[in-house]
Amino acid sequence: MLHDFLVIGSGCTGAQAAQTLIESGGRVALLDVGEKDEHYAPLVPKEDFLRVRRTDPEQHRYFLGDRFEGVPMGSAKGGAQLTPPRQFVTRNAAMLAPFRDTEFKPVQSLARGGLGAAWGLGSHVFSDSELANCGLDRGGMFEAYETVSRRVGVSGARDDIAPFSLGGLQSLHEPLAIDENARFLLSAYEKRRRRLNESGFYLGRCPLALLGQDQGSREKSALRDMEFWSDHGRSAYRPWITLEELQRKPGFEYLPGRFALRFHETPDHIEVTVRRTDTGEREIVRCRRLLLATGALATARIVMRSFDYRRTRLPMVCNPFSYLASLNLRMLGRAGSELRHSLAQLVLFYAPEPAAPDHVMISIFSYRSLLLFRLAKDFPINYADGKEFLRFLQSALVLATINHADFPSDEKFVELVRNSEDPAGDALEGHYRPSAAEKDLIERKNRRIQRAFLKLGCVPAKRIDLDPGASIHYGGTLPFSTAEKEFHTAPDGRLYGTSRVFIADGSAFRYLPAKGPTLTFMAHAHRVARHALGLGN
Amino acid sequence: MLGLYLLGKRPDEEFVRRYCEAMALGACGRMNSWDERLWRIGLRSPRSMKLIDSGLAMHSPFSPVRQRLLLMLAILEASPANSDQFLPKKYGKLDFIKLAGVVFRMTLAAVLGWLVVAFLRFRYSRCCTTSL
Repeated sequence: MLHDFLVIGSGCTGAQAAQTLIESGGRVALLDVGEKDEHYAPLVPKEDFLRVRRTDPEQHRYFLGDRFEGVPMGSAKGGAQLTPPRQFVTRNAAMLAPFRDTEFKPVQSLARGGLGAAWGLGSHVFSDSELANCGLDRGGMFEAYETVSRRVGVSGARDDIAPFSLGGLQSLHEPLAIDENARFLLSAYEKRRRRLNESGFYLGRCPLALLGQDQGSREKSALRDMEFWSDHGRSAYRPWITLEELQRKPGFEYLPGRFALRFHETPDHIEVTVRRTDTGEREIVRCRRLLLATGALATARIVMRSFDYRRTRLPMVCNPFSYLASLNLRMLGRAGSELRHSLAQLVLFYAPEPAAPDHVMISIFSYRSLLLFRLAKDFPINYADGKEFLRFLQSALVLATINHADFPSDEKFVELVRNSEDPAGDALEGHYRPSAAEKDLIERKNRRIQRAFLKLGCVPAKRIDLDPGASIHYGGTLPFSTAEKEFHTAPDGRLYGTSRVFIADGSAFRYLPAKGPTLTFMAHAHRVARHALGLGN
Repeated sequence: MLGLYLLGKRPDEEFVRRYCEAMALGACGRMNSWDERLWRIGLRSPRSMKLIDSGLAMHSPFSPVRQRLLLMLAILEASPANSDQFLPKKYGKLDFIKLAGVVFRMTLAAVLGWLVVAFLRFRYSRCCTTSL
């Protein structure tokens, strides 16, 4: 069978590209491994966190996991949101898509919905200069942002961070209520706004792909504080929601249980070699046009194989990432809001030069639904007293994730190396060594951010700089180029060296600003799908 | 003993069973002879466990001994029976006085624990050297 369009990957970008293709009348097949959770999802009740904690005798099964996989035994790493009900997101990735252990520790997914199945939902629009630095033009992206944000449902407020996060986005849901901890921070910011703005700091509500009003079969967020554990009500956007809708449409075919290895372009069609995950057998899937949406690292792997290893080293960018725990002194002794969501309440931008491409984005969370024991392990105190002490502190805790912009360099790359243990005969290896100047700049910015938290009435307690790869934002492996060059992407998303293969994920982004890139990746996927349809901008 | 140390009361049999189940599944790292020695000392009483836990929190926070304690803490927390000991609450004046006591105990335990574990480590390394 020859498919008109074949999309590989069912994550945020694959789902959006497929939707665009289907809505334009294309006949589309979407192929992925399709790991999913059928074990924990039925166990989690549709109740708010406090009620669950006080009443559900089975809560240990999903909070800790039936194999206790939810009790982390080492130091803090990225991916804290991968709770037992979310761990299917990375299941079998190490086996089917091996990544050698180096200083670069990526998170990869073969799940139905990809990494989007555990996405933190932060939805930010890139500025014109950021788009230009990535290799994109605003004209093409403007409509794409609107389309995608209407589909996924983005709630947000037009406050001080709107110029950084919302651009000209029109289709916004009402902002969700923020919790007491965030309200105190926001009021402290409002009192010192002028001084903070002069230092380059801007605080506002975090735009989230979490519904502020009902949308189709999806419910407005009930603020149950269970977003790390379940997708009840479908309030949080997950790519599998799009996939389920697509499966009901004529012209769409879903091909799970298949891991894409390589493609080969013939004069009139493309042959994609896949390995079936049930039998291990190889299979050929044929299509007229191919859209790769497996994420920058997996797409790099497929392309290097498909071009017969003519190049085995490709550039890569990945946002440097830190956690910062601080204490909001005005919250000490308070119980905090009962109803709230678990995701970023606020976002702080550090932009001393608003036109520069190296802003820092700090997402601000309150702590509750990940339970106290996860917190206790990172404090140098005994567990018995620590439990009492951290219980007192938890409502006042402000957890921030700090994302820095990343630019390409010769010391940041992925390499495909021979690996006889892998059935495909190779494994990826990531190398990420920022220069001393980059490290120094990041450290200086981090210190300024800590000082800004003090001005907001928060005492920084601990900062953890995570291993490269922990931000789970990857790009730049097949960068945009206006000149035809192998292992580069044309501005319309076509992969040079091919005539009908399109790159629909973040692989082509030459740099990553310090913003959650998912909304932009999805908008880009929509735009690439339109080009694949021959519709252009 | 672990439940008594962490909660201040004997936990239900169900928690002990769950802990044993987790250990059988290999939830914690393997202990070496040094860890086992500390573990045996800790198991003598909740007080000795507090000293060992406090000392290790600074010397070796992710040691297999601390991993066992963390596992039991997680098991105890993830239950409605103990939720009131873990969920946030509004603190009154009396609670603040109690909390000051906790902070004092915690600080004292940290100092003593650090010394105890350092001393035990010194004795252990001497013992190992002598036996060689």
